[in-house]
Amino acid sequence: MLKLHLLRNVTLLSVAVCAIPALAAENVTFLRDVAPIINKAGCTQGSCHGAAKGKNGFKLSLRGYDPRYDYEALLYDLSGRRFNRADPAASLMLLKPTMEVAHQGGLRFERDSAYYRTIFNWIAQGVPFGDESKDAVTELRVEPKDIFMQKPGGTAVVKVVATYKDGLTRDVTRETSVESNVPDVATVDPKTAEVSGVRTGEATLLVRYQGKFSTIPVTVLNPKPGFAWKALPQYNFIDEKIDAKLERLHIQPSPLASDAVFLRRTSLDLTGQIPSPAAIRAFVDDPSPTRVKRSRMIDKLIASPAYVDHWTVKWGDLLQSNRKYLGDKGVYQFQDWIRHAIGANQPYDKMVLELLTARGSSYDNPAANYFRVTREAKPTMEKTTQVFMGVRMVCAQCHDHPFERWTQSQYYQMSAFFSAVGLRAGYEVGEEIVFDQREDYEMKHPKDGHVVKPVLLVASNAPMTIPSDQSRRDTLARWLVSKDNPFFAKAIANRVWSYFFSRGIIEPVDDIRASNPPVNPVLLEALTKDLIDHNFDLQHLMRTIANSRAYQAEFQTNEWNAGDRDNFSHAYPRRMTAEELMDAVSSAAGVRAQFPEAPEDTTAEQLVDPHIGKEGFLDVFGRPLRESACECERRTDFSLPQALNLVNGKTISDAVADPKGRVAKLVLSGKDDKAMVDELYLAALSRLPNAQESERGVKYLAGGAKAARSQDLLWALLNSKGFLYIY
Amino acid sequence: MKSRLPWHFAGLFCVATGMLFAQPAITTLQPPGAQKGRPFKLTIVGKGLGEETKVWSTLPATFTPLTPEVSSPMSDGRYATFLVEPTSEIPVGVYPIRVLTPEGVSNIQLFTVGSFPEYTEDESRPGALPNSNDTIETAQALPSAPLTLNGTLRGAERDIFRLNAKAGERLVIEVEARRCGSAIDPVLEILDGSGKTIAHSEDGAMIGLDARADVTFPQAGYYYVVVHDARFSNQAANFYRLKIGSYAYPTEIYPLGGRRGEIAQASVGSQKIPVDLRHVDAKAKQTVVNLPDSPALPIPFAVGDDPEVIAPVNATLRLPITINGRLTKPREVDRYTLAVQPGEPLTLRIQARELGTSKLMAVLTAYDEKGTKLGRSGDEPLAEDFYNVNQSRTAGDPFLRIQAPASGSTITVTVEDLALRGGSEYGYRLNAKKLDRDFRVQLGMPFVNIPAGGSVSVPVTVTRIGFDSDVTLRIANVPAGITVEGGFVVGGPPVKENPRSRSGRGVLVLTAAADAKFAPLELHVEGVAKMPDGSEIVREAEGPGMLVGITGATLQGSVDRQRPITAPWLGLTLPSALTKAPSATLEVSMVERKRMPEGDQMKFRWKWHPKDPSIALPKAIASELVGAGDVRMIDVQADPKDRTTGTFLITTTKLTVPSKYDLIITGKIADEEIVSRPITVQVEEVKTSNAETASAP
Repeated sequence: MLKLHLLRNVTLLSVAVCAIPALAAENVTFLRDVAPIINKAGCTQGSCHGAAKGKNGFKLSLRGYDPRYDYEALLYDLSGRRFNRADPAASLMLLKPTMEVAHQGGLRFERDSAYYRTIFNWIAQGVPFGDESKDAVTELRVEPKDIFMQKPGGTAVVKVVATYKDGLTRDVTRETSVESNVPDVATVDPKTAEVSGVRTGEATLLVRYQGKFSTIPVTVLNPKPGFAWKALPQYNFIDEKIDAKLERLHIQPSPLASDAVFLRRTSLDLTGQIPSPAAIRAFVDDPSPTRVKRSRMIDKLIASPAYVDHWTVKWGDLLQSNRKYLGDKGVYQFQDWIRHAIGANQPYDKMVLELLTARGSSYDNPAANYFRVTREAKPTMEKTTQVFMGVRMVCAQCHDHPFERWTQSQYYQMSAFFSAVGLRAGYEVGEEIVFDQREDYEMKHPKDGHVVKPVLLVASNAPMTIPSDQSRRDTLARWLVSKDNPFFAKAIANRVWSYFFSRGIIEPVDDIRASNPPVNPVLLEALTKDLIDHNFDLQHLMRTIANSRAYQAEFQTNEWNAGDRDNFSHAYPRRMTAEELMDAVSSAAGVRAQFPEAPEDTTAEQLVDPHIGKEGFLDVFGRPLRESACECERRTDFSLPQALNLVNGKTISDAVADPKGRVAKLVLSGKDDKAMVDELYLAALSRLPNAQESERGVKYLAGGAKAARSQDLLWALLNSKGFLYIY
Repeated sequence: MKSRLPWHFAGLFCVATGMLFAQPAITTLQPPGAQKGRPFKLTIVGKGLGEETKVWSTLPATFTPLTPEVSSPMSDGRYATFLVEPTSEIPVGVYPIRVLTPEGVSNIQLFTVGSFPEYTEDESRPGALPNSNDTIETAQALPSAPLTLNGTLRGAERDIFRLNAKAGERLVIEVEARRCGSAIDPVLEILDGSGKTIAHSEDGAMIGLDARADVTFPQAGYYYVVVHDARFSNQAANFYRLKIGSYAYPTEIYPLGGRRGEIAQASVGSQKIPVDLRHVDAKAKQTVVNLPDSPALPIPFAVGDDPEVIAPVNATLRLPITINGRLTKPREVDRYTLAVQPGEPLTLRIQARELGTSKLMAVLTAYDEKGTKLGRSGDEPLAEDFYNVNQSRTAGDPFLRIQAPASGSTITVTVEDLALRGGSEYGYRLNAKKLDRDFRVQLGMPFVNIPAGGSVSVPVTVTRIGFDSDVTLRIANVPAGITVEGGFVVGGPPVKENPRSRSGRGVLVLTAAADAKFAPLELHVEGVAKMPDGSEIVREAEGPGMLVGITGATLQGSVDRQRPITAPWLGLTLPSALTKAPSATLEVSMVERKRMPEGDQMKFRWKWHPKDPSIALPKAIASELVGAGDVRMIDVQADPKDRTTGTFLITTTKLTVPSKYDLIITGKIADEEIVSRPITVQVEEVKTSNAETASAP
């Protein structure tokens, strides 16, 4: 009512101010002219009035995603006293940003600036909102399409032209936000949109104007002279796509890693376990051609039970298999369901379809546990899009996504697919029934409470009718796993890739958006197509990746790829995960870790959830609590508590001194010192010692009690980077 | 029987008398089952099992005591061994076993009679090393099927057995645990020789939480049978029975029950089986059926008293009626038309999941003739703790209380599955009757031993439907020398969260005279409710039959509060016997009452009367104002000059329903719980500014 009243007054005022001579100007509207200014001036930033609660009692939409909201906020705030139509220069909207009255946000533009004149004219013309059918931006034209600099120090200027719904175009470079995602490679002058190359590397410029986005890739080449591409063998299409880019960037890839390094890396990446000394000797001694025997080993590892354990951990993380949400029996059942899907190599699309359409008893149909974790429509939608599409929708719950095209309405439209999912206690303790509610299940928009109908995030290519009843999530599930969903296959291809290369082709792997482009789009496209062509066979995907030369490259760099972190020109070492590390300690020391309330022969990779052994070694080394579906919850960084645990903790010291362990057996076997040193190196580092290491080791063992010194040697090896890292 | 105790143990014997004269309790039956038709040796393990231990069981067999194989002061009273000889053909099934001694009756443990030769897991033999068959490498070899192997799971372990199968051989591999009174929730996996899982079973419609796999082995060779607990939990009742053979078993049953006094025709799988209900006990709510000669355990079959029909039913049905139906396919909704009188109160009740023979989680809806919904049950929203995931929450079969519309002569009732599932395991019984007021009395303990010259309490839960009056508990067959007191279940307004029913708690206190003597018997507890119109409803209490605790808490910090195993199907109310005099008696009396602005503050005195003045008495006692809400016990003080007495305060508030209440106090001397005789306490309505002090009533 108040709004209507004010609107009427404004209209009257608008008529009144027509009589007052304004500065000679063309028609100015909020939508076309003013909103871009307040965005560019920073008024809608999260640190200013775009904050969730606004600033100093005045709130605008974040980054101006909702011009109508901003317009009304300006119009009605302080009962409309932000404008003085009789004397526009006396308007608070001009006095504050020019600091003529106190403004906590400081000076935003000068009194003699173009921005001032535009707003002055807009007020003088009666603060018109504009016509959405004419003044809304339909397209951004950005030039250049990409920026390629031969060396650091180069510059380029970005030009942005907006096309409006009425067909008019305008150079909006000055009001456009242009930001670099890697400022130490390429920086942008916010006033001139001039791009400067800082160092060798790649960056992406995000160009934003009035809800429209575009990106510009920037490449700054290594200026060092003398690069000559030396072609390496290409094992499959992955190598072709990677090499094409590397050659263009003047990056020479590293050659193949040794057999021992390959075996250790592949074993850990595929199964989470380090190879035994016997397995290493057998593989290294195998006279078969390198590519042949490596391919055979990849197949063998994929077929092993440890493979199932390892990937069950990863999916357990993503699906948040945790007794906190699922109960004791529920968590074992959900783990079994995941294990079965992985063990049977269930096609990925089928597995996801089974999860998203699960109904009934969580005991009879453990896939239904998917809904027990998040329990409500909105978090379920957020998890679904993040895990299976790599799309983070969470920001759009409160406002349109600041870096992507997703709107708040889309957030609720997608959530509406899950709004009918209900949970009810089952008959048995810990059992819950997942069902579709029969009434009162519609999703309501938080702004005005209107019913939001389910709408797919991206229109489906195939004809798809979305039912209005409660079975709507089945439709979503079918669309989500379909081949024409542009995110589904890409997201999993990228995610799996990241497990082998320590980074995704898009990074973070669960933040796929136009403004976060892949480092090698052609590679990701090919990988995605290959996965689809093979019916979402994840083992095929892993096999393809592991058989590439790029994956088998050594981690040592050459003069041309030493600075490369993004283009897969060499292996990039990463610390073992908590479970991998604990199992590796056990394997190297020849012992079995003991976990409370788990059978005796349980490995860390077989643990059902993070409640077993909590607050111990595994948690120190970054095991996730499984309270989030984000990959980021698992930490593989290195910290002081970890270092102290390795040096002083009981896990390693007990393992090396175990009476049934490797050291005790070696000493009792009567092997000579060299053989013992060889065995300990193989067990811990998966390789034989070099001559110097061997000599030092033998000398050390000979210097005192062999048992104690062997324990020391193993302890030292387990504390070395060569043990802790996958390389 | 003459004692064979060596003389040199005599001195120690005196020290151990406390254990010998304890009330009897059974912890384990060794073995937990036997092959039918053959005599067997049964060792009852527990406490208080002296030479005069007698077995009380429905198992048709003689139980001849044997001399314990191990005899020492530490083992005395812990074992009783019997040679058991069947006296008639014993059907496959589970049978209750309890013991009687001069110190009273024991709890029940279930004993299972099977068809196959019985074996014991190596690891479960006395003195065996633990975890000796936990890996494929150390798997215990099984003899040729058929067989039943009695095993145990000690904490987080897997028991692994090796089986030699022929190509194409079909074997049913089954684990009986929960059905036999074990706390194990078994998981069964069958692995091939390479360790790959070829079959997996966890729960089933006809076997509850037990596991059964029906495997046809693809090729000849070794296979592995893995048994573990679903939660790898550590249970006291940790036995299981692994049954292997080629046999038929019930996979479905329809209908799920029949009418008492008739012969029902049940379809068990593809077989039609007559179920004779003509002689079923009047109190029994179920019997059992099985495939002829099947070695599988029988399955429950409900028994009702109202007329029955079997769906499909097109006619309008007159009340009372029990409709037997089944949702044969997903998304099916069954509809029934019932003839009603305008405005009459109706109760509609589903029996399905609670019977153990159906997976249906039913949603029950009633409509008037215009299609207007009169009520729905079975899909109510969760309680407010939506995000506080409570793993212990459970739901039973739904029921609906409605009033027939003022106009119209019929209503329509629909039955569907909550998750729209369906199939052969989705049967149900829908009972509809005119009923506006009823209640159910459930005993909180399966048996009671009354100490001579002492008291014991029996907790009771009363669930009211359609009324809110007080309920008084009584015992219909009180033996001479026994006094029954307490048993007042306070009424009150309906609980907001669940307007259809209201539960109340009562405590009966049984006190035996010092010279009381009576033979063990089953006490019949009744609840009596007086209606506002002066009429009276009497309902007999149902006993749990047995209670086997299931550990819920884990070291991992999560707690799934597990339901104990009960056996109401035993049809027992309250088996009772006399036991020895208590170490002391306890007395309570009110000494002061203050009317405070917020409620009453009542001061009570407790007084111990120890049998032996030198006995160590506890410094504090516990109290219960039975069924009272918002009361606190504070300021518990022992008298510094007289350790046998002390005082405590109980405060009430405006939220405490004004009514009379039973007050009892309890105290523990070692493991012995001493209960006082109850006193009646009146809580008055709180009025403003009426604080006053009163002396003892």
